[in-house]
Amino acid sequence: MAVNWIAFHLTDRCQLDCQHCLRDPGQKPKDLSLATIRKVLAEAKRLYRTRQVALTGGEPTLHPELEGVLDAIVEHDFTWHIVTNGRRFEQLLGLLRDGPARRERLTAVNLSLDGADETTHDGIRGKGSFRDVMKAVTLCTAHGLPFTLQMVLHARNVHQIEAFGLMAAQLGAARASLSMLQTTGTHHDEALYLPPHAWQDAQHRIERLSAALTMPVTMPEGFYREQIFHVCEAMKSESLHVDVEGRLNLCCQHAGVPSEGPPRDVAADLATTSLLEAHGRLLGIIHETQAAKLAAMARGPLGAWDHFPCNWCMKHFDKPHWTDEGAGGPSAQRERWRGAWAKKVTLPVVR
Amino acid sequence: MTEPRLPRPNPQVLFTELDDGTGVLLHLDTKFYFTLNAAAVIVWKSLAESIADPGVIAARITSLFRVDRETAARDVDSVLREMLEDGLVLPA
Repeated sequence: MAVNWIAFHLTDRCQLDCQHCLRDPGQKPKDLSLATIRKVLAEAKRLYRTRQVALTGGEPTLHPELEGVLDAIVEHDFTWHIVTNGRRFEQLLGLLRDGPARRERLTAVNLSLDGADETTHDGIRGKGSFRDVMKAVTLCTAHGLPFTLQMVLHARNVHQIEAFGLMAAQLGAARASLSMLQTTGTHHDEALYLPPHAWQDAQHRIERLSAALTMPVTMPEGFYREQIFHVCEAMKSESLHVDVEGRLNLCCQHAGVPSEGPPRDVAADLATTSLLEAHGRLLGIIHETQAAKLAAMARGPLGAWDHFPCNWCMKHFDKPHWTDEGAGGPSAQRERWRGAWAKKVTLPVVR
Repeated sequence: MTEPRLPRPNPQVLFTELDDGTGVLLHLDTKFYFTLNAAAVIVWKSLAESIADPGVIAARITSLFRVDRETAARDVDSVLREMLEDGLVLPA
């Protein structure tokens, strides 16, 4: 067990209005400070000898100091991968061209693709975004950059699991990744909802797809576990997540998600607290969470949704989560990006 | 006299131009990649501009590369035929 990688939620900025997005872009966009990134990289290298960095968002290529971020990664001798919607891929390529050391340390480009065809993907992520991804795929192939296609599954695209895997293989992806939708806290949850048995069906289909393809097909944390007591990568400290405000928090799925009361997943502000001290506090949060799960198991019996570890965790932290009735927990309070996510409400006109 | 009509780009084909003047076509239905040399890029761009005369395309190539008009015209015909066979362009 080791701290294998550090994930930086670089920015909340994004050009898209994805229905399943967990961020709350109605807020003024925030960017993770370069000073905090440099501090964390130095501490992680010294303390843990960590080698890998993940850049996420929002859309990480919109960070105003992305060039400086990449140079900090190079200076501290990390390798890196990035999760992107592909819309600014040519700008990213320009940064790689200008700095060969940045390119040498890039291990993968993870492209978000939420459908195996244009209609499905654009219906979820916005018109034109499918072709943005395909263009990025083409550029990765032309420049020899390894890329992964990753899909967030939900009711609107779950029928395309096999088509998605085949497409990724045909395009030459290094890997296909299919993850489980987390509750967004918005009105979209109703249309995106799948019951527990449907998630288990999806999981079996992904396992079968993985056996059929020579390309790796992976499922990030979140799917059904027979054993309810399950210790995930984040809880093992194999990955540490720095949110957009520069705080060490439990995991990326918690960051930016509304909660009842102050967020309990946050360990410390890394601008003012050492990574060592913040990590110590995080272990306290993890221990408390695991103890709570043991207590719930002792009270038992638990429901079907409690076999989905991320869902259990979100419920424990008073965040939006799935229930047999649909979505439970707090709602995202603010309007989404440019208001596009807000439920249409007709108000009386005051003259 | 009626101008010769040329095939048009298949809307299911995505064109990406690379820095060195070459290009890549990705057929979104078959997921096949096709590489284009710099002259073929000129052919593709000309089709996208709805140029109707292969002679105009050949002239563009002649002005940019050290190739005579007759060879350029033959190459344009050849590229168009291959693009048609691969479904990259649709018949006029």
